[in-house]
Amino acid sequence: MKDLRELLPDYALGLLEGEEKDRLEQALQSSPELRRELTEIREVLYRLPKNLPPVVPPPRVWEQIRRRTFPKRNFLPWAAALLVLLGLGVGSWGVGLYRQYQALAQEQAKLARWLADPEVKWQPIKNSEGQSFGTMLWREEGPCLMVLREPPPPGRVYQAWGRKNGEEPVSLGVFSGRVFETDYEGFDFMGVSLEPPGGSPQPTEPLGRVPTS
Amino acid sequence: MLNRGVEPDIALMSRLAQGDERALEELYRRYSPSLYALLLRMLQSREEAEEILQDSFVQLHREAARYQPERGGVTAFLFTIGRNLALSRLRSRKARSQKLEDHDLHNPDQELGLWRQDDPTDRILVSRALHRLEPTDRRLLEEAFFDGYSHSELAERHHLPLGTVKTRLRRALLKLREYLGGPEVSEEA
Repeated sequence: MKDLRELLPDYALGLLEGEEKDRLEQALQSSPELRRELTEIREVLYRLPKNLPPVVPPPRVWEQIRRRTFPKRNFLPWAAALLVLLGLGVGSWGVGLYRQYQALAQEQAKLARWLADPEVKWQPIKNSEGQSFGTMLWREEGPCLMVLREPPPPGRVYQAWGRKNGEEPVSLGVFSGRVFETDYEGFDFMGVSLEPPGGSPQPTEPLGRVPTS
Repeated sequence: MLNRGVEPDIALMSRLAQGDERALEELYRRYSPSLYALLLRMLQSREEAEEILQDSFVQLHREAARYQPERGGVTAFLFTIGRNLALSRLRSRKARSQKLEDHDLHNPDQELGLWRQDDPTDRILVSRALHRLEPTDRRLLEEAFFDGYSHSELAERHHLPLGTVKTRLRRALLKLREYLGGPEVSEEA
């Protein structure tokens, strides 16, 4: 027993291998005394990290852990968020929403970051008939996220625009998904148009716009 | 040290074993900053430290039902999981990473989150206990624990015979237990 006790510090440090490790693990099964001593050594060993200043991990780590440990419960808040964001508040859209949820899987990470921020504001992006076809989320300091209800039709892309009162619109980029991150600072309106691949110098099929103030 | 009225770790583990997500969230809130600091120190990579931190809490969730309080506290249980995962990662690497600078690790502008001001008592106790060790013993212990160096790697780094490394490591750990567990250290703090 004495020689096995001497192996405990190495075992606790993860330095024991092979036959010695097997022998000790076997003995630990049947010896409360060895187990107690190993527990004591581990308690001491794991006080060593106390010597390091703690660092709060980024929020994305907990989000990933929650997804991996409680996956079913994670779907509900997402579904609720997407209902708001995509304006699909009607129950009959449920099945379609689920399909959209799957299709949007890659864009969720970006959305999640935005939705996790309590400072984020949002408003619908409406067409000329006043119907909502998407949502713009924004932060006071300038960044914004456009979330559109549908992807562009085949062979077309969305193009985001910023416009100052009395000036020509400025292209902010094209996107073929439903989510686009940009910056609204310096513009009075933010808009979206449908364009051929690669985009256009000026909007050819404007869909709608949102005032920035 | 928990304040009066705060749910003990053991109770949280019991709730976690029954599938309570909030129990895991509370354990994460309590221990992720110190475990993340350990993983950053060991792996010298933010990406890998985040990955192993994630895996550690997923494994804690999976093994919660197997947790036996009489075999040690939740901290040791969780940190054993995290450190073992980090050790496996270190040993699967062909070469060790260059050490990151401390300011890189703790700069809140680099997506590492905010500093958390903890009760420094335990840190002071551990620091004093470590500094009471013979300097070579302390370095051997720190390199084995934080850097995952094996006996043979330590022997090579410190130009010491393998047997001496083993003896010194055991001695360091047992001394540390004595210093941290004995009344003398507490009085000094």
